[in-house]
Amino acid sequence: MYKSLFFFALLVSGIPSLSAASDVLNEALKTAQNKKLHERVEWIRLGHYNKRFFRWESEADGKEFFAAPDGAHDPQAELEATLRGFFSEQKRTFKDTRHPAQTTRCQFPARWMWLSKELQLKDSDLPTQECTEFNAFHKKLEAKSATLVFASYNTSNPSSTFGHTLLRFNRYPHGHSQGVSLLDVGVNFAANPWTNNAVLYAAMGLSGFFPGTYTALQYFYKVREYSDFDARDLWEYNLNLSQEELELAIAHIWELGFTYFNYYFFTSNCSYHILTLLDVAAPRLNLVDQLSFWVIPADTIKAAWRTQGLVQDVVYRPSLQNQLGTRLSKLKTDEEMQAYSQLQATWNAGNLPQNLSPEDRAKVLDAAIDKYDLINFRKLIDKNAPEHETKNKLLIARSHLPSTPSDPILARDDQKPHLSHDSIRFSFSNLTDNYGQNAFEVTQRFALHDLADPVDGYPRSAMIEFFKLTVNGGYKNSSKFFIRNIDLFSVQTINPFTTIDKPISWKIRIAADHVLDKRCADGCLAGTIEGNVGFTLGTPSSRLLFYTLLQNHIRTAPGFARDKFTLETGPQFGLRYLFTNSLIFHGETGWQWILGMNQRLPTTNLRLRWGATQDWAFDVGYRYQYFQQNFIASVNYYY
Amino acid sequence: MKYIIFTLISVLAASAHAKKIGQAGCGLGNQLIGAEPGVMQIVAATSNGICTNQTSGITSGTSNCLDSAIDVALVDFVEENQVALKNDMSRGQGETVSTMSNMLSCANEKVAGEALKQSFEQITSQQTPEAMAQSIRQTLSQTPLAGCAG
Repeated sequence: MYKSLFFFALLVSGIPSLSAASDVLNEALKTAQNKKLHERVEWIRLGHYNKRFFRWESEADGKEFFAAPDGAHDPQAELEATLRGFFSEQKRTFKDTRHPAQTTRCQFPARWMWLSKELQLKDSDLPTQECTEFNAFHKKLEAKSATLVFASYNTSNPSSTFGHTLLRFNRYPHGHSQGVSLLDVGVNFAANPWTNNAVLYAAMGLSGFFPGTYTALQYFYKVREYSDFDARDLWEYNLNLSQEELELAIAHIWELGFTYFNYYFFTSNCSYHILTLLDVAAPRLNLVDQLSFWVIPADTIKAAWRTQGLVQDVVYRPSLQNQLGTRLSKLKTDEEMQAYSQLQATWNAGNLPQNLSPEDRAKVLDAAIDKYDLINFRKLIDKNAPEHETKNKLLIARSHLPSTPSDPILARDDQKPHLSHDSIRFSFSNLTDNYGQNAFEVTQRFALHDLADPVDGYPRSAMIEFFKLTVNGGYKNSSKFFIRNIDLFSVQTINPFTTIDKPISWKIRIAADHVLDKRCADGCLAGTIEGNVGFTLGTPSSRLLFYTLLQNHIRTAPGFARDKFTLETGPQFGLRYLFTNSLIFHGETGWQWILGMNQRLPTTNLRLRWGATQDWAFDVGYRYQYFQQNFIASVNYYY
Repeated sequence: MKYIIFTLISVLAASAHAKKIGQAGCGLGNQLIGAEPGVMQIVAATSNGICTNQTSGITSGTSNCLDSAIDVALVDFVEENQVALKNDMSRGQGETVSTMSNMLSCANEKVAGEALKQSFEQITSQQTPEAMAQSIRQTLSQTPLAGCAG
């Protein structure tokens, strides 16, 4: 009897609080509707909504990200379902069992942060709940500041061609003493392979069919991977974000952890999804709006840089390769250079000449240690590699020499990636031939940089082009247009020889070229693979570079008169001189024999380009190809 | 045509046995190259060009090393940064040495670095990351001037 009375009392006492909660919810739903919160930019960004054909569509592709069945297309329904969910104790479970079951409030802490502020809700209005998993995640980041990190290009590895960005959450405010950022957390957006099949992996990875997700890893993994392993510089753009903005960013990353985004290599890529995150965290920013349709990582850095007051300062973290360069530049005397060369030949520190002071021996050894790492980094990852023995002897010798003051390695100002010209280039050229006849040439290049483009923000001795189309037309006696080139992919590096390093210079190009000679008298578009190899001499600053390559073309076209496949080979000489960083001469000349056809093809290409602004450049040039010569004047627009 | 299909199928079948690619554990080697080093894995780890694939998901516990106790964190740090750390210790300074002295709350980083340099042979003669981390802590605790708390 008492028992049932007790139950009854319990039941009754529960009712008012339940209905109070539903009153609060109804009030909140009404206010949200009156204030049209679902149309506000904050909500649109929190849901990653875009207008597509007059209809909202969320970029998030995983259903787990939505509280409403049609949440991906209906911001209002999503907002209301989210609000209702906040007042429910029921945990949402997920098909992907790696995600822990969560109440709506715990799964969407960023939505709660914004909605509770707009609707003046408190946690005490909701059923009591503990967001254990989110709190643990939040604790790992412990962010006091954030940094946008750009991993620069490594021209010897085409897969890193366009750079990469990630967002680092720092445990200390900016300006804290150096040497603590290794333990900070880098948030990365990356494609995830769903296959272990190597062939499928390559195919899908390149064409962007993998789901992309966010990950969080300690920064040192990135430093080891990019600086040491990949020889890429890291540029750290310290951002001015308030603590509130940081908290919103962290909360939103948690929300994004439950979903995925189909990864498109050139649009919905890592850099894009790092910027959307910043736009969510700080609605005052409009970073994504500044991007063009294609998203090249360096462009996202520029968007941040151009946003007033967002970037506080830029920190440069040299790759192992550039660190070695700096150490080598400190070896001044012949004795030091000799000692280094000898060390590099034997890797035996016992040979270091005793007439050098201990400090100088330390300098030499420091350079040699970096060089050894650079050559053997891949092997040194394996703990059982025999290379460890040699390396350890070098280090032990080093530990017996004095510590030397190490100045921070500073980047030249002109290397900063935000200074680079934009990646897409449109060019219009006027061609004038021997007889004074004019024609025009139009070139559209998707990306990124050639040897005559202004060098600010780019590697000085490298060229990377992706999808370039060149069309000629406007000839007096003919109304026809023809395609001169379609370059799918073209990479070239011309790192000069130094007294201690003898890098190979090379070029690879996959293209279709207009061929006009014995093979195809009326001209035809021939599939072409170009592979060149040789060496470069130059000044240490790479201001003047002179290269010699053996140039080879394999070409094929259905219209070829005799052999359907031809091979051309011959020498090519190139000269590149930087009068300034944006007044550049680049010339190439050479000749090629078409094997088995008894024909020699001389080719010359000269170009003087002046980058008048970051967006505009003007050329004068000369071209001799297929026994025709043209004087060229061009206007180039980067955007 | 038959030939092409046959080739394609056999290549797919053969490569299906390939090692797991890009499965990221705590280890760098693991992350970059899977269990066994190989050109394909190295390429795979960096091949989608703009982004590499790490699998430290946001909701699934992130990296198991992010929030561990100092012992675990130090061992992990020593293991993952081994090449750079040894270089820095032999020079008595550098970013990994700074980081480590920050982890162990050392008051005087310079003295700590110098002590690690003095004991370099001793520390690096240890065979496992655990033993090396242990040796590092021992060295620092025997150097009161470094003022390390951890």
